[in-house]
Amino acid sequence: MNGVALANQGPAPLLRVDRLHVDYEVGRAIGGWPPGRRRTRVAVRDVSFEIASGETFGLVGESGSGKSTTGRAILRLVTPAAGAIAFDGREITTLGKNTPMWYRRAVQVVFQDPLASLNPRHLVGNIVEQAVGQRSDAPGRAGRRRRARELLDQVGLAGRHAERFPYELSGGQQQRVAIARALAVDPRLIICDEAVSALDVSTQGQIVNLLGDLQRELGLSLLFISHDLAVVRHLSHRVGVLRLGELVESGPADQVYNEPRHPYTRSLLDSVLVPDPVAQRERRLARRTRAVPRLDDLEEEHD
Amino acid sequence: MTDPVAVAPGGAPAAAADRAGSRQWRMVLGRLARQPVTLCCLLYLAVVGLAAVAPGWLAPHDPWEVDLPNRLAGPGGEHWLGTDELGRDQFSRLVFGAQVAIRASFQSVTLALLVGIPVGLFIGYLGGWWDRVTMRLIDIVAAIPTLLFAFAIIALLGRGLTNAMLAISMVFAINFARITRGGVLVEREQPYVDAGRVLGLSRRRMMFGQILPNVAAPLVVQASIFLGIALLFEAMLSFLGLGVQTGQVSWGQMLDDARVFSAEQPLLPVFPGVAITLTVLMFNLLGDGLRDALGRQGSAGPPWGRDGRGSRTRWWRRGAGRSGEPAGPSEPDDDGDQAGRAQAEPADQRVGAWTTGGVRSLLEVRDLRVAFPAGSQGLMTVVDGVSFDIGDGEIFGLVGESGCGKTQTSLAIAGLVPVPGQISGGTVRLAGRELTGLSDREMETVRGPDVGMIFQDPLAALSPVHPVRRQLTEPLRRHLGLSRAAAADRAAELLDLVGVPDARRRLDDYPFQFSGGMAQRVVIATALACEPKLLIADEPTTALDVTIQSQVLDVLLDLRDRFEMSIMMITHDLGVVADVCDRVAVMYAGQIVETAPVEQLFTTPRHPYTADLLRATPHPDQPGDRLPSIPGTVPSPDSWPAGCRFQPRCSYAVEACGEQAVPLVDGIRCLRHQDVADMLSAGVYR
Ligand SMILES: Nc1ncnc2c1ncn2[C@@H]1O[C@H](COP(=O)(O)OP(=O)(O)OP(=O)(O)O)[C@@H](O)[C@H]1O
Ligand code: SF4
Ligand SMILES: [Mg+2]
Repeated sequence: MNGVALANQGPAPLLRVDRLHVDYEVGRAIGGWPPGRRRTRVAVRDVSFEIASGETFGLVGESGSGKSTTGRAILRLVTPAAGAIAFDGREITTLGKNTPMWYRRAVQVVFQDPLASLNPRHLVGNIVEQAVGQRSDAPGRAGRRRRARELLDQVGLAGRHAERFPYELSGGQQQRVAIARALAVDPRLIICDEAVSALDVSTQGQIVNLLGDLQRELGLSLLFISHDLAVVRHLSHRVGVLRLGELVESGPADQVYNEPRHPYTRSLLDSVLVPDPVAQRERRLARRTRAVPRLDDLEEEHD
Repeated sequence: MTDPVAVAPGGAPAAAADRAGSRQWRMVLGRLARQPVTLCCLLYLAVVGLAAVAPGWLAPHDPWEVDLPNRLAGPGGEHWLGTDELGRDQFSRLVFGAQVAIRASFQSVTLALLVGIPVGLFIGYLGGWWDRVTMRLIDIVAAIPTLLFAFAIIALLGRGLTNAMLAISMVFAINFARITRGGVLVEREQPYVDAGRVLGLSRRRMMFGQILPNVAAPLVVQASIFLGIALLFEAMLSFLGLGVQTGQVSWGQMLDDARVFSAEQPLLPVFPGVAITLTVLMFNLLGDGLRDALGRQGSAGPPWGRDGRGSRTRWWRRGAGRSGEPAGPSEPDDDGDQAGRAQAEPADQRVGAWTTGGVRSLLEVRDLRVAFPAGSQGLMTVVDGVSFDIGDGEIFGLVGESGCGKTQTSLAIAGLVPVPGQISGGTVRLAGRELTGLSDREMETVRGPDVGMIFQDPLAALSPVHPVRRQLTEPLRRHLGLSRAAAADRAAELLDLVGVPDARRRLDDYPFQFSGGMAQRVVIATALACEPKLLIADEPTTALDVTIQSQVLDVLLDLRDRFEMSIMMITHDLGVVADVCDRVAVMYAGQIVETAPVEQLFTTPRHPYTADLLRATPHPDQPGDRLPSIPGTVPSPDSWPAGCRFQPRCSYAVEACGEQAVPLVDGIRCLRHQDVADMLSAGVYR
């Protein structure tokens, strides 16, 4: 693989993604007879990385680079065309159509849009209780309710929030509910797909810190998917950079941010706007004088 | 059990679903209670329902009692609605007819619901071959006329109302299946469904527990309308002699009998006709009422979030559809406005706070207020006394978090406050011309030549059904009077100017054929078409990737340099502010809390909120374990605290802060700004 460093030292990784390849079907005539040939678009090709136990792996890249698709393949919401995904040493791409409950409990998700990821017709307490009911040792109704309150408390919500509908909470609170729901089944890996991107700056920090705290307390692993390089830096031990479905670079966060090896990583980092007018004006000058490939030209070709 | 939670409000550990259900029903009933028409429908239908359940109670006579001497009597004392050709009491027959009508329609609709909804859920959720095959079958069945279908079933199963109603039941079931499937296809893509799948919820629970409640509203509405149609169908079948058997009364049959004798007693067909029409109408009105009452709650989100897009004003639509409409809401001197002003705090006096410092100012906004009607009691102010100037060629940033009023401020300047909102006070002057109080038609001549606008979502700002040529040339032809060919030339130039490669060819592309960054450039080109003096850019790069974002910002900076255009840059991203702005206003809870030149704002913030925002903004070069954040959340406009609005979240707050509204003095709205500045410059963060 083109210079992608895999952390092979130490114990076996919790998650190992090996040469993952995902296609999407595009434009097959609906209900055509006989069925036309499948036309596909490659969303992810040859992506490999590992996540150790208790580690945060940040996946950055631009829109359409395949970040979410990678996460969805791990969650078994899309079926990979090729490649292997091993969780705790067990191969999960070969599991067949139905996903076993142990895997459903082990891997959870927090999505970007906090409101849409909570059922609008269910109360917050109800949403978390339902998740508690999916545990292998699911308690009875009263126990479920108590456990749900504990979880809400753990993510910083009060008991009264349980009696509300999702739309009655602020975005940050909604995202806390989504985190409580994910925690309900004692997962070992949580996939955060743009989990803080829809939040205000002042709230974003609260959620990032909450995720970090939970990770330390519970020994969770996180796959933190985001387009925001600054946030990823704050949370991730190691970082992978996706571009047009390929992982162009991965490594320890410090190394990727300070000594990017791939020109694409550098141009991404150059484009980040820093909240400092003087520094930013210098960066702008430096960026505009440096010849970088026009990325949107590439994008247009790609379509 | 000594479980403190389980005996919390609500008593016994009731199922959470019941709690959710009962609260929703209360909400729906509350809304229904506020609709007088629907209440009347319910009342009427309750009476009809009572007639159906216990006709003996309501009917004064036996409906079969023959009274030949009194045949074909008109309405009167003994027989309220008269008698038919055998002297039977019309009113009693109507009452008994309700039984057949209501039973037939409920039976057919219930059967249809029981069949149609599971089928729709099933094929919608599973998709694939199940879906394709079932939908084809449904299409075939739906192509057969209902009446023909009824004949076929009668031929097959024998005469009788129940058999005949099977036909309409089938048709309803197909409709329910289609509606359900359509709803499921939408809901299936929602993240909450994915989250349920990731939790390993069973298919049955996904379909019935998670998805069904979210697709139920249109089904309830449709069911009500179908009840009316079924009733009509029953009447029709009975009219044709295919419905009820002898020994039963049906409105349709009464109509049929009345037909023969209407020459002798012209009122005879009127009553069953009225009963049928009125009942069908009531079912339909009830459906409309339910539609309003069942609407899904709150889709509020940050304006740059995905769900903020729907509510964004699409100016091309307004421009196209609203011309000539009288300008009601923005007249500056109507009553609501007085109320808004009366409760407002005095305008901030020190002019020095907002001037542009030497440069001639192009835009002068003073004490601008925007309010929306809230409930029955008056107005909810969302922009509360905003004042600022924008100089010629200046890039002025308006920064703040979700919901603090940035977008409404900009919409007010452009005369686009969405109904039922209104400008409830203040003045907006563009190059000396007062803009508040102009009619929509006058504002249309301002938007374009004087004020250009760019929104966050480029695709929402472009009409999806027209090639971009049309959207670029329309303002040129309308405002500048260019010919078609000249306008096309100019449009190509504009696209070229904003960096769209191969501009002339791309004029004939549709918006969806552009990538996000390119579409935003098209929008910028549209906004620039008439060389506006002021460009309002509302989160222009938020939906874009970082690399594209910096290119779009480059385009804006270049344009400013070339045309001396002023830009009002609305953003929540301090990085964007640092990159392009000359001067900045920070907004919080509807007010400007600090105005400063950009370097000053970043080096020596004076307001605690500004300082907190700066600290909370993650910096790619400064990795850290914890990200500083501000406790609490931004309050919504109906719960702004008294006194300083930042007080509940402010770490410098003292008692005085909560006592009275804090004025903006010298560009800073904080009682303790001196102390705060001292502490910040000494490096002390609270
Ligand atoms: N359902 C789908 N059908 C067809 N193509 C799809 C589908 N979903 C995603 N794609 C394509 O797959 C590619 C990767 O998509 P994906 O959503 O994983 O990217 P992403 O990096 O997460 O983007 P974003 O940040 O915009 O969410 C894109 O080219 C996208 O257009
Ligand atoms: S006025 Fe008081 S509460 Fe408001 S920002 Fe200043 S110190 Fe904080
Ligand atoms: Mg994504």
